[in-house]
Amino acid sequence: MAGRQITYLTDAQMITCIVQASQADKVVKAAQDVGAQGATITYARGTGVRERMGLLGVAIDEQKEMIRIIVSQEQADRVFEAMYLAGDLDKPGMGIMFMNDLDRIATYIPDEVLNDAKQTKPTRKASSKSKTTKKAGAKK
Amino acid sequence: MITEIGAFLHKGTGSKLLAELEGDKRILGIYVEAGRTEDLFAFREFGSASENDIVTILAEAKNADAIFKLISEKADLTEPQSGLVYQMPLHKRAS
Amino acid sequence: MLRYSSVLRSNALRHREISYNQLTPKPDADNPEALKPQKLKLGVRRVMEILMPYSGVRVFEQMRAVVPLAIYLVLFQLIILRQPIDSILLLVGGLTAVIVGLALFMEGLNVGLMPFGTLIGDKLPRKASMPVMLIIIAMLGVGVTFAEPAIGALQAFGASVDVARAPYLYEILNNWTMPLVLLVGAGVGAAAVLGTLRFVYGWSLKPMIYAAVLPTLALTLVVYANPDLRAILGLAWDCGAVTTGPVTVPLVLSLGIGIANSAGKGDSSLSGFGVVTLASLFPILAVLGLSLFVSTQMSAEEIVVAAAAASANVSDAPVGLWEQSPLQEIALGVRAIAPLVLFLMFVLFVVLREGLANKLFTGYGLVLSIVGMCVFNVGLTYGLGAIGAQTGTVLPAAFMAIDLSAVSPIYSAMLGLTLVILFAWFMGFGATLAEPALNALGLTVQNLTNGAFKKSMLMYSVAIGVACGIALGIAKILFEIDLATLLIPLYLFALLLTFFSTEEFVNVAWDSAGVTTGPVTVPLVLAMGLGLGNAVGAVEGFGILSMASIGPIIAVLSMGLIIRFRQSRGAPATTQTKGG
Repeated sequence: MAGRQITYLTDAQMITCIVQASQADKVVKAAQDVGAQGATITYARGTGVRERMGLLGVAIDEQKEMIRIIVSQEQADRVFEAMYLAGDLDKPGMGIMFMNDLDRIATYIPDEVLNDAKQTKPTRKASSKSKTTKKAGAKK
Repeated sequence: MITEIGAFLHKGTGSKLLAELEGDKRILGIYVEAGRTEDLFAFREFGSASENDIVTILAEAKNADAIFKLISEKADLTEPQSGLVYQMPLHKRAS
Repeated sequence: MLRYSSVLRSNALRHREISYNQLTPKPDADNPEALKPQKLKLGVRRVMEILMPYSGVRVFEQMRAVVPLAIYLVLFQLIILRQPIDSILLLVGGLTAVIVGLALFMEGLNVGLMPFGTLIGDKLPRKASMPVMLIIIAMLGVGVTFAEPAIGALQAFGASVDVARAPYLYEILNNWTMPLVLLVGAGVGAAAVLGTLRFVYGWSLKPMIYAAVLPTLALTLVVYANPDLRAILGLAWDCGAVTTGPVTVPLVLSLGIGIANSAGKGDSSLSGFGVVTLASLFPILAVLGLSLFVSTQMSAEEIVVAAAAASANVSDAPVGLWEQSPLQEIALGVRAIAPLVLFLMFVLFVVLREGLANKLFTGYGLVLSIVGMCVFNVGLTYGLGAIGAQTGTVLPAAFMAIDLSAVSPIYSAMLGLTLVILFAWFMGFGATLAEPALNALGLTVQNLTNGAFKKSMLMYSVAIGVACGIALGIAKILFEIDLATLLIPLYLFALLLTFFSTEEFVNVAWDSAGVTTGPVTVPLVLAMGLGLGNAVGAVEGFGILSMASIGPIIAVLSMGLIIRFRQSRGAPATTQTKGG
C-alpha cells in the first residue's frame, strides 16, 4: 500500500482499572476531567475478596467493569490518581488498578495535530520527552 | 521476550481478524473480547456509546514490528476514529 | 528523575509505596493452610461501608421509579379531580412495600434467578440432545403461562362482559376458559421452541417477525369482518400482552442468552432475544383461531340464550381485585416463582446432573426474589393498586356526571376528555418505569452490549412508547374506535420500521413490547379501563394493553433510526477527536 504511512506514538502508558459493574462511567468521567482521551470498557467477572467475606460477599457485585485507558507518560500519574479517588478504591472490595508501559501506539491522528507535533527520533525507544508529541490530539 | 499487541477496533473486526490470522506461525496467541467505548469511534450506534472489539495478540518481540504493522493496516487507521493499536512488552511467561 | 506531574501530584494527594511482597501470604512449613485464602475479618464500620451503598443504591433506584408515579396519582386526584384520598397511612405503607419489594426482587433476579437461567441455558445444548432440549423448553413455556398471575386477572375481567353485545367474547371467557389458557400456553411453548431454534441456527429475527405478524394481522381482519366476533380482538391481543410477566421475561431471556452463548451462531451481541415477542404474538394467533372455531360451533343467539339460563348462577360477583387479604398476595408471589424454580432445579440436577457454582449466593438470590415478589405483591394491592383504583373510579367525573363525585362533571367535555387522555399518558409513563420485567430487560441489554446500550435509554424510550399506547387505548374506549383500525396500521408501520432497522434494535424493540405490561401497569390500566368503560358504556375495556405493546416497538425502533440518522449526519463534524 503505497502512500500510506503509520505514525507511531511513543511514551504511552496503559492504565487498567477493575471496578464493580456500573461504577465505570464515573471513573472514566474523572479520568477525562484530568485530560484522558477516552476509555474502552469491558464487562468481566471477578472473584477474590468477595468469596472471603461469607454471605456479606453478595454486597460486592460479582460482575466487574474493566476500564482500559491509554495515556501519555506525562499525564499518567494524574489520571491514575483521579481514577483511584473517583472509584473509591480505598474502600474494601471496590476494585484494583495498575499501569503498564507501552512500547508504542498507533491510531488515526488528525493532520493539524500531526503538523504541530515535533517528530521524535525514528527509533522505537525514543527517550525524548517532547511534550507536543505526547499531547498529540489531547485537545478534545 | 514476549510482546503483547492489542487493538481496540470496531465491532465485528475482532472475529474477522481472528479468522484471518489463524495459522500465522508468528502469533503465539490471539484473543477477542467485546467492550464499549464512548469516544473512540465517530459513529456511536447507541447514541452515547458504541460496542467495540478488543483483540489481544501475543508474539515474540522479534515479530512484534511486523505484526504491529499488519494489525495497523487491517484496522485501517487512516480513517478518523477507526480504532487504536498498542504494543506492550511482557517480561515473563509460562506456557 | 522527577517529573513535573509528580510534583503536582504530591501536592494533591498524600501517598506511600509498599512492596506487594509484604502483603501476599508466604509458604509456611508448619501450616499447610498458610497459602489458602483467609476469611476476611471486617469491623462493623467496614461492614456498614459495604452494606450502605449496596442497599442504598438499589432502594434508591426503585424509589426514583415509584415515588413520582405515586405523587402524580395523588396530586391528580386532589387537584384535578378534587377528591380526598382514602386511608393515607395504608397507602404510604403499601408504597414502601412496593419499593422494598421491587429492590429485593431485582437483586434476587440479578444474583439468583438470572445466573441460574443462564447456567441452564448454557449447559442444556451441551448435555442434552436437541429433541430433549426442545421438549424441556416447550414444557417451560407452557408452565410459565400457568404461573403468570395476570392471566387470572383477564378471566376475572371477563365476568363483566355484556352477553348481548359481545356474545362470543362472553362465551370464551366464561365457558372456554380452560382451552383458552391451554392455547395461550401452547402458543408460548411454540414461541420458546422457535426462539431456541433461532439462537442455535443464528437466524435473523426480521423474517420471523414478518412471518408471525402478517398472519396475525390477516386473522385479525377476518375476525374484524364478523360483527359478532369483533369484540374478541381486544381479548386476543391483550392475551399476548399479559403472557410475559416479571418472572417469565428474565428467565426466558437468561435461558436464551445461555443457549446463544454455548450453541449460538448469531453475530449480534443481542442474538439471545426474540422469544419474548414470539411469546406475545403466538397466543394472539391461538386465541383468534379459537374464536373462529367457537363461531363455527354455535351461533350468537344460542350463546345469549344459554347465558340467560346460566345468569342465575353467576349473580354473585367474583371477589374484587382489591378486597383480598395479604396472605393471598403472598401465595400469588410464591406461585409465580416457586414452581418454575423447582422445575428448573429438576432439569439442572436430574436431567443435566450439574451443580451450582455458588450455592450460597444463588440460594440467597432465589430466596430474595421470592420474598421480594411477595412484599411487592402486598404493596401493589395496598399501595399503587389502591390509589390507581381510587383515581380510576373517579376519573370519569372529569367529563361527565357520576354518582361518586358531588361536583361532576368538573370540566367541560372537551377539557375533561383531554385531561383524561393526558392523565393516561403520564400514568403509563410512570408505571412502565416501575415495571420489574422492563428493568430486567434493560439490565440484560446493557450487560450484553457491555454497557453501550444504556438501561436508562431503553427504559425511557419504552416508557414513552407505552404512554402513547395507553393514551391511544383510552381514546379508543372514550370514542369507541375499533381496535383493528388502530392495530393494523400501527403494526404495519412497525414492520416498515423493522425493515430499515439494524438487527440489534429489532431484537430489543420487539422484545420490549412483551415486558411492558406487567404487575404495575396491568392493574392500574385495568382499573382505569373498567372505570371509564363502565362510565361511557363501552362494550368491553380490553385493548388498552395491546396498544401499550405496540407503542414501545415503534418507540424503540424509531430511537434506533433517529440515532443512526443523526450520527451519519453529524459524523464529519467530530473528526477532530482522536481515540485514546
